[in-house]
Amino acid sequence: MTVILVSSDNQDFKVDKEVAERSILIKNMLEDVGESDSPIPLPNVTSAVLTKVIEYCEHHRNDPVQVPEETDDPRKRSNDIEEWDMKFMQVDQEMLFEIILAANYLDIKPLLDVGCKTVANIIKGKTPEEIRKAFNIVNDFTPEEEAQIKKENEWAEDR
Amino acid sequence: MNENKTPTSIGQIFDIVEILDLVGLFLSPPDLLNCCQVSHHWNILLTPRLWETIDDSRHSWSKILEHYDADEGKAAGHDELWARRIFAKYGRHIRNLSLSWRILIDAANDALCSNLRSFHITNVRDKLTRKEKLEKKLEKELANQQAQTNDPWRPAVTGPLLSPEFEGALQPSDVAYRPKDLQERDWITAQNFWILTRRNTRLLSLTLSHGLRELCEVVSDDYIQDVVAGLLELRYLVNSFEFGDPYVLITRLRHLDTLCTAKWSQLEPSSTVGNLKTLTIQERITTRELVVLLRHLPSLESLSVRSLTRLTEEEAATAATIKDSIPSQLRRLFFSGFERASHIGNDSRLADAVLPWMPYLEHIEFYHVIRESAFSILRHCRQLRSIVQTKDHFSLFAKLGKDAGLQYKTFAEFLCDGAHLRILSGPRQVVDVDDIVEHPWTCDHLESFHCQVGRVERLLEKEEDILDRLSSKDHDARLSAEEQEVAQKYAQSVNQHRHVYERLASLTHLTRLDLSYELRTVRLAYEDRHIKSTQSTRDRTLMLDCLELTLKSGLSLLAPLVNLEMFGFLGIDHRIDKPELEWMAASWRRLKTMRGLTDDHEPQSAHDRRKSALRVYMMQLRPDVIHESIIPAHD
Repeated sequence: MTVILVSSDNQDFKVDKEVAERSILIKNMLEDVGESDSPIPLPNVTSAVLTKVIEYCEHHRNDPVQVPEETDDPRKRSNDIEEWDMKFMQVDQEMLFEIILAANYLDIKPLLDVGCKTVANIIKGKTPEEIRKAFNIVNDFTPEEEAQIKKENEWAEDR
Repeated sequence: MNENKTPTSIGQIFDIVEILDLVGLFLSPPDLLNCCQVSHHWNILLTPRLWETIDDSRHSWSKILEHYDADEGKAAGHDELWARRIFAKYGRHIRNLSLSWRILIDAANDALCSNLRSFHITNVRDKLTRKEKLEKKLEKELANQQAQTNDPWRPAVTGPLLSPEFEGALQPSDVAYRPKDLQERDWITAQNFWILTRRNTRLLSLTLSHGLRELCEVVSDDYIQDVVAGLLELRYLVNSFEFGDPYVLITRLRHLDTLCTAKWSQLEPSSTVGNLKTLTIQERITTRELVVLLRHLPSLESLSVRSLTRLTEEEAATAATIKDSIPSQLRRLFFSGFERASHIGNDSRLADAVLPWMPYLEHIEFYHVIRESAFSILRHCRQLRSIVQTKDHFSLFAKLGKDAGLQYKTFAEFLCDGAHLRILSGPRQVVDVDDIVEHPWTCDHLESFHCQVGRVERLLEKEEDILDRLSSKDHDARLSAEEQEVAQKYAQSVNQHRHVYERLASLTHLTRLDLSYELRTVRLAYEDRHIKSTQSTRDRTLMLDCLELTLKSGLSLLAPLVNLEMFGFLGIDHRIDKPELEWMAASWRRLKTMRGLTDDHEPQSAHDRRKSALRVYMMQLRPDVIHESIIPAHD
């Protein structure tokens, strides 16, 4: 069975139901509507981004459903990104963020995780100023405030 | 893409709280600290992540705290007040707290931290600042001078009682050679610790180290037991504190699924208790205690004990009756004790007594396993998937002396009769080549095999020279007695190699094949008579009666092992050279790890240039293959 997804710029995407249901949002919509051929509008996702998202869902169509694991110890959380996903995420920063936003909106947890891990990898090893520069963020701290944060949390530095 | 979305949308993504929080989840404290300095928005969202886990063994904690009580600390702005202030400000964010510095236990309690999900205390007593270390040293010297006249055990200090409930439960202990003000602080910290623990009623995980017990004297174990039993959501408990009775704790803590305890109970509960799945007992228990615990902990899947006491007649009789009761659900059994500890691997009477009650065992691990126990394991545990000999770093290069601990016959039994086995790992096991030639294997599904193949006929250097001479002689030329002997020995060696390769090649599910010899010492090579028989003079630390592993000896017969991800040949006289590496690189495409070409820093061994050159060559052929040393990389 296939479903038709419509992007914000009105392009139709015909995909297998199994693939579309990687998105919890779409899965719930389909369950609510029941058997229906009517296309599903996705007003928040452009065709360029939807193409990428569908590519991801196609590749991961047979993955077991992710069970949220209650890992209280952050040191046990895995930061690894598998090889295919790593290549998939080699896009410009704007597309990366669009994918994350789409994954968030469509509720595709594994894609959201991979996206956020990729952002975390961009942040790793950067100074506050370099992070601001990378993401176009304005520094709204006074030098005193910045110094205080550093002082209070100096324990977190690896020296 | 929409123009007005760039570049502002790049920053906007972080306006979504969930996304920035999720990014923070994948960052470590040093990076989180940098993020907290980016902007107010990032600071507010990521500070809870930064403070979610505080582990004072990591990052700069120790460097800062080792002089917090000295001028140096004050000058840097990292004094006691600093620690107390930051905990007061951020303590509410802490979920996981792992501490060994007393000042932080005190600060966490003063800050009324009450959202902890895990709390681990280790090594508190010995974590001293530089100043305290100096004071302790001086105090000890002083005490030593007075030792002839005075009793070093002086009465304890009387510190303040922080809560009335400690009355009759805890008190300052008598401590020798410890300065008075340190003793006072110990007493305060002990009380702070218990107040903090009691306040965090939603703890899931708690570690009570032995060092904690030394901070004060426990007058009433019942008090401690009541505090811990009051943590109703507790799932994981390490009790090296040695209080109370494990059965009482397991009964009262209904959610407890993992318990590690220094001492075990001698009680026999009246009915089954708790939902415990994983139990580690750090001491030796009796067979009777083992039977009792398996009967009363029906959910238990994994059990680790140090060792078992030798079976008494009475226990043997009891054990005989357990075959009729409901079998245990145990899946994994570990014995953590070393050489002299007795367990089912080296005591077949014990094995015969308890294994019939563990038919569902899938994994078994011990330091040693003898042939008689192997029979028992094969007979009783038909669902066994893995048999693993514990690797301890003592035995690698250690003074093994007479007790080399090598077993020649045991693994042959598993290979012949262990059709269910998937993992067979025995760093102290050797399979005798004659056993391979004579007996077929049934373990066709083996995925991981670590063991040596030994007693293989190998020519000495002198004999190799004779063989070279023979090959240039005419076929009908008469051979001397010595030449005939060498020719026969060579033929036998060729035959043995072919048999072993064919047998190994039938194990097509293998992903790990490790033929390494890990227990070598120079002395051992001399002493072990099996090695002496084929001893060459080039490298006495190698195991010499092993497979040759050259293409000439038939290595290419191992081509069917296409699933191989790891291959090990450390410490054996393998003669692997460039052509063999080329063959492996081309034939085993899934190979990820190789053990045999790294320098293993063995005592008395010089840097092996040839080995290094081969490693470099292999890295050129297959850059994707990692080279592992004798001490395996952490999992």
